Amino acid sequence: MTRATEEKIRQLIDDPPEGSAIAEAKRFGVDLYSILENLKLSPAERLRRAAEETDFVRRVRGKRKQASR
Amino acid sequence: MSGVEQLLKALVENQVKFIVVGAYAAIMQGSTLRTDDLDLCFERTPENYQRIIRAIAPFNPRLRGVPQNLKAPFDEHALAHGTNFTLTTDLGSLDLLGEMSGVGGYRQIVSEAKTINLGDFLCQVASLDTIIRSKETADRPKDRATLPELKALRMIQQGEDKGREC
Repeated sequence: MTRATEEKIRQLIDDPPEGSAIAEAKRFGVDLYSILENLKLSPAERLRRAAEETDFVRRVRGKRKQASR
Repeated sequence: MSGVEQLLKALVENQVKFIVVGAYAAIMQGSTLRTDDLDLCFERTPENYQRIIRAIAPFNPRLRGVPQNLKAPFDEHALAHGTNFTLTTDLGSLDLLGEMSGVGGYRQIVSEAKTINLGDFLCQVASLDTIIRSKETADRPKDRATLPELKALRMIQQGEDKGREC
């Protein structure tokens, strides 16, 4: 992502057009800066990060289940 | 390599005709959504059923929710006689969808799909328009909750595309 593109997206997030999807998402509480950070990664990096986070949650859930038995 | 990547790579290497749909398709395009399931829409042809079974057999696929003592083989015959399958594999949950409500099957969504480079291999991924349409049609609370982010991401993506054209 070029610096100009990043700046353009940042401006959209900071000051979205009224009634736009970005304005609606902000009202809904979506962390749009996390999307911006994701867009700086390659698709492979995004996939790997999500899969690692999901695996971590799965492991924690598994341990919690074992502990409650 | 994560379980999801291993599954995708095996499917690509076996020339399975499929498109990643659902949350993982959105994630690869920048979404912050998280999910346990890898959702794939597959082409419904006998050749593709064979390729699917060959690709995922090493990962011990079995139908999710079916008691282990009940013999319910997941094979080409099962694929030919069903539409959507929720599976457990040694690498994680895998949902194989022959049809998706509101968007149709592989042939309906392939023209809008994007080809994404995952480093070692290329993969077909549903467009944000397709993902949004399917979630709007499914209309469950968990689907509705994803729509504001997906629509915002689509708006950002459209802005990026315009920037590239300039």
